[in-house]
Amino acid sequence: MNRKFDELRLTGSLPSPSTAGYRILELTKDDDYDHEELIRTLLADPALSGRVIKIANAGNKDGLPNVKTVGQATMRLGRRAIRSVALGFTLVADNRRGEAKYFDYKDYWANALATAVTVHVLAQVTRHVDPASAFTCALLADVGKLAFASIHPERYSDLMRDNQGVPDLALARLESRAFGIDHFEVSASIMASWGLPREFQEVALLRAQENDTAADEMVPDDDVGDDGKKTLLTLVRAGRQIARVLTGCWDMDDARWRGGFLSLSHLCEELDMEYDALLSLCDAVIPSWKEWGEIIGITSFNAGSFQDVANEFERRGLRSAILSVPADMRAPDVPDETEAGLFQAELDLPLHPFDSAGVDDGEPTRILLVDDDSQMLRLIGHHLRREGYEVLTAETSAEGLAIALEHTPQILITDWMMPEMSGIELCATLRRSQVGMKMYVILVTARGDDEQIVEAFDAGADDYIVKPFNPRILIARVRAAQRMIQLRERVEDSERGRLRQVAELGIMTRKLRAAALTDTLTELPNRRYAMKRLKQEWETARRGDRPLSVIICDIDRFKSVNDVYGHDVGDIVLREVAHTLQAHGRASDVLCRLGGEEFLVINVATDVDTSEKAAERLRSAIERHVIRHSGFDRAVTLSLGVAQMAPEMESVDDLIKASDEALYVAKESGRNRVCVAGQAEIEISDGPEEQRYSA
Amino acid sequence: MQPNPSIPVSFSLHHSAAHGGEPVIDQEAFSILESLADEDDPDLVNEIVELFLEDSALRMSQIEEGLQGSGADTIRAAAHALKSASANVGALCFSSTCASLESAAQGEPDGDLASIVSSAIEMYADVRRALAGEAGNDQ
Repeated sequence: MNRKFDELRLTGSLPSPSTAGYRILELTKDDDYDHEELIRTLLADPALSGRVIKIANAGNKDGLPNVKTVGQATMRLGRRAIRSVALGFTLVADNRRGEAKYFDYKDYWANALATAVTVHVLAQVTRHVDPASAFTCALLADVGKLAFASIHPERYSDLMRDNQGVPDLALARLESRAFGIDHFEVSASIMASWGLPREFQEVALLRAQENDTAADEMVPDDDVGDDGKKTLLTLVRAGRQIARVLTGCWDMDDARWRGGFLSLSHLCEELDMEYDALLSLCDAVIPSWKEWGEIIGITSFNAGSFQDVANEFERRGLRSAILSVPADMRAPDVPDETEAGLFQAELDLPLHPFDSAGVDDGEPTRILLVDDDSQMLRLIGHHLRREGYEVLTAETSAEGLAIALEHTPQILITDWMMPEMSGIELCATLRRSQVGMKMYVILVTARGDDEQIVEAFDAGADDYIVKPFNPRILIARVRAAQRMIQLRERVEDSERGRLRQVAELGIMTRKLRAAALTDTLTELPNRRYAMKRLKQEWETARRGDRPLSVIICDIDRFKSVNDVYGHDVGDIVLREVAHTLQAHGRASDVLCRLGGEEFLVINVATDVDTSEKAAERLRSAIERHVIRHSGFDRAVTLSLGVAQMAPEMESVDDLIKASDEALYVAKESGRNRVCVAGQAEIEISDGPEEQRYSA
Repeated sequence: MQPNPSIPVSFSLHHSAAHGGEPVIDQEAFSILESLADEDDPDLVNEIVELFLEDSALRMSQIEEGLQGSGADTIRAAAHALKSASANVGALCFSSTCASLESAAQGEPDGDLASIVSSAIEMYADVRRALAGEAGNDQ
């Protein structure tokens, strides 16, 4: 019953770094382009990697196994398809819903790629996981963040601004509140929609439980038992930690970075590696990170040598600190409100006010001038600025191309004759991409003969001006261009409004769905959710031939609490009980409020003996938890009925019935106790805790 | 109101008779440039003239090198750039010489490259002097 992120499918695509776009345009200039280099560019970019994989898997009608790496997707799609997917890249500046100002795109891209590169090396060394798959999984493990920034830019930007530097787990809680889903779940949901294996999705989701070691001292969760998954998860987690150091400031006096570096030693155990071996492995990642980083425009590398830094720390006597630094240096600083697992249904659904149409919002039209003649740039620039346009200039086509991708001007005015790349080539290059298709291009030419004019239009120019020209003519042409642009932007604006509604609707749907399945008083999943989930777990258990147990808990003599202390106190008691039960369950347990004073615990993949122990733990926790409120000052007690799915049972109703009957016996035999369904023996001892009755 | 350029431009300088005796800087053409400057952009004229002086020196040396061997293509490109840049500062005669140089470099039949280059060099010296405001020898 995973939460879904349908907004992406409904509203478009994720942005790529502009340097990656530039490389793609440069690379595909000629017909005999370097295909391998193009693939490397796709590999470095989460958005394009995802897109080729998605397309390969969507078109898979021959029953072939889904692809899970860019390499496999490339083989299946062929050169031409890859080229056109690559040219379909979109950019942040091009996002119709705008830019998430406070989201650090560069940092996101750098960390995603650095993690992927590190994990690739780790996989080669540890040999448990296919390096190429590990690379893809690591690159995309955080794609949910990029999706939030692209689909809900204003909301996500606000969230980033108000919670700068918040660790991922705390961030996830905030996201859940704002969007009804967090970035771990969004990543998994996107991976699923791209046809990537469950294994990858689970890595994205399990990262959400990085610190969740509480409450499984009794029985380890065995749903992570799959070795491959665990290893992949270990690698991605380790890769991420190393990547953070790698892309960090490399300033030994920076406490945060130093903490990150020193805590690398904790990876030794997980990776089964000596500290020195780990350091030299990290050092081995550096050259390949530099090579890859360039693709996404990372030109300054702080990285020194891991080994040297470690030696220096040791000289400073920090080696001993290594072992005392907690694994997670990032202290969560978000108040941990009463957390109801995945269920924080807040029905505050203020829709973000829609922008007024972008055409009239006072933003000047951006014009890029490309001319190798600086005098011309100065002159034309002067005329255009005087008309109120925002003017960008470049003296070479290559520079012009980079600026065009970074700032996506609406109008491009380029000289024809320039050394190296001509204006015609610049125009044709831009026109190959989706981004460049929208620009209005005016070519400036010295000769106005028919042949040249035809050539200009063939290359994709929208208009041309013959030199020397009267500035008034140029302004008139730019005004004509602006009318075209406004027309197009008006269409885009209404489209933008629609997309925005779809995106907001996604949030609302998710919140409403969560609300419909959540009990408002305790914030636990409600009866409807409980029954749906139980049916699901029932099917899974039957298919996998795994055990399934349930515990029904009922607060003893709850009616008298309400009668004596009033409903307000009754509500407090229910909330406290819910909270206590939650705190003493395992991560894999599903706790729901069935109604009144009755709760249900679904123990996935758990047999009745283990379940009974779990029930006993809950019973004793409640018994010990004193509740104080408005004169009420004592603990309450629980009666619990435990039952396991049995072969003769036909449906979940039979299972519920069995545990209900056990609960009945628990009540009848004196309350504050656990009873197990169908157990023949009756044990009566003197102590109240060890009494068992059969149902 | 037209702010006067701080670079004094001489309009009285004329090319030698061999080059038609026309004014080096056409006053009318230059005033088009001057009319562009306004309060928002008072430095425009100075900057344009400076940009021309800087850029044209480089282009002229390219032309000379071109003649000595690096080829007609270098000359064509430099002449092309000089043609419009000089027209912008009102050096119309020089601009038209650059135009003939450009076509000669493209292999136009009756273009004698070397002789056009040498007259371009002479005219260019006049242009620099005029733009630097030196009261030159009137013919």
